[in-house]
Amino acid sequence: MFRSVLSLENLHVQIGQRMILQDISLEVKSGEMIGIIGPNGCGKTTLLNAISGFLPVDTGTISINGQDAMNLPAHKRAALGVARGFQHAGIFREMTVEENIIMAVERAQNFPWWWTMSSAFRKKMSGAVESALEEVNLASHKKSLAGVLSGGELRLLELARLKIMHGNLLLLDEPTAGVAPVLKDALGKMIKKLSKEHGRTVVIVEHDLQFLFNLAERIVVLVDGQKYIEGAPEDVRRDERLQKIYFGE
Amino acid sequence: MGYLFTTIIRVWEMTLQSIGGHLTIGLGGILFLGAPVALWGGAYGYAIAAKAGISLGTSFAIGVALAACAGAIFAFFYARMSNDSFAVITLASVLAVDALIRSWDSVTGGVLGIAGVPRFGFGQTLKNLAIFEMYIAGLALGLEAIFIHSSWGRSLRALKENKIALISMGTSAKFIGQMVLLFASIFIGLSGVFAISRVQFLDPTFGGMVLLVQILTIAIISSAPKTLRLFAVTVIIVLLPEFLRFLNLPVSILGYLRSLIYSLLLIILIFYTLGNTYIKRYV
Repeated sequence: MFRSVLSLENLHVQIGQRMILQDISLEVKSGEMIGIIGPNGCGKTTLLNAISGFLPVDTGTISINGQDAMNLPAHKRAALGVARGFQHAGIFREMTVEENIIMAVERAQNFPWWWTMSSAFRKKMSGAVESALEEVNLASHKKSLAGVLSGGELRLLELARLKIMHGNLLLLDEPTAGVAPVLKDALGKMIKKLSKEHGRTVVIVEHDLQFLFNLAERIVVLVDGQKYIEGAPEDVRRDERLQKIYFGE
Repeated sequence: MGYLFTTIIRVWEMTLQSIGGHLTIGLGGILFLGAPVALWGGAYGYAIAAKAGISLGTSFAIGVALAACAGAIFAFFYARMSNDSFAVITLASVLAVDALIRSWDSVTGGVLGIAGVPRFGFGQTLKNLAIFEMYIAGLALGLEAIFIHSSWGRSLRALKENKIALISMGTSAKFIGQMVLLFASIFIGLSGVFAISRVQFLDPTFGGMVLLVQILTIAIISSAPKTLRLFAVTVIIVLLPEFLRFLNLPVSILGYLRSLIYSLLLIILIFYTLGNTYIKRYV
């Protein structure tokens, strides 16, 4: 039996006078991969921000891995299992590629800070960094500043980092934004691998419908902050309402 | 020899202040402009306690504790406001504490200050103070180097660059910032105790905006996570105005001219060390 990793009930988010999210309820089961689509400004990123704790929720409940997360700050929600990918890749560009991976390993293993100075740590870290970067073909950039990587490489590095961290709920915000088609395939494979082989539950916000329909098991369409359509990718693709949203009457 | 030892001691004092600025502004991107408050905390705490007849060791501890209190207050505000607002609060605190020490005659001596502050350190000579401070500054530099290359140091650098991404990795950005403010204030307060031990006289012109400009300059130039570079920049900043002593300038304008030339040199230094660095690296 599948357990619920993420549960949202009657979520309302208001910013100023504007209601950004209205009455959103969503249940995401362990290992499931769901896609969230919708026109610009419909509240997709706001939804991810509310789940990960970067935006206060007015009413409703958020439960992560069975625990009430409503009153938890963002860093404690991360400890509960939320791993967040950002629209502009949450990579530290002034650090080397290696250091970005090391930061993820440090958090995943929860080392005491003084142990990070030891030679045993450096040896262990070297192996972890090598394998993580080889998986995304970035081993040759190990010592480069992350800021010199291309948009697609930054995304791959972000995914490599998310894989290392122990969060079982991945929230990815437009992972293909600014990524060349050839790297989109690599990104898709990596996300699929995280879901199928590593058992991560994935929620993806994406504008590239083709990319998302090939990846997700369930699609949620948001319009004006409300859940408009929900269903299997094939059903949603055929839904006339989706055509109207994206291409007009 | 007195000039030599004084200059060496000033390097050590500035090293401690620079570490404070480096951790907060340089590495963490925390707009901490309250360094003079921590310095005054250390200096006045030590001077008032020592003049009251309390043992020098205890006076030393009181000075450092007062600087730590200032750090704790800054940390309190840091957790509750944006970086921009924090900059204003810390800068305003400098003006507020300056007004307080100028007007609280019975405790701080007001504008006349406190004279004859006993010197801390073994043997109470400049040479011994220089040696003692060398150990302390060396230890502080070593600790900073360890800190920078630890997980805490990486978190601090991440805080400067992308606070949201750091939080999303499960780290409390507030806690990191608060701890750094506390330790920076302690280092700066420590330098205040040493500085007052050197000059043995304390008035409100001690520290202040000149000190803040120096710390900011060092923090900006040495914002890379390199302790040796920080020390090298500190030495340069301390020694930079010293050559003016040997120029044959009229005494009536010497003080102002030194300040003017020093300011211009700092501007040139920042311009040539940091100009277009970001563009060169990423475009």
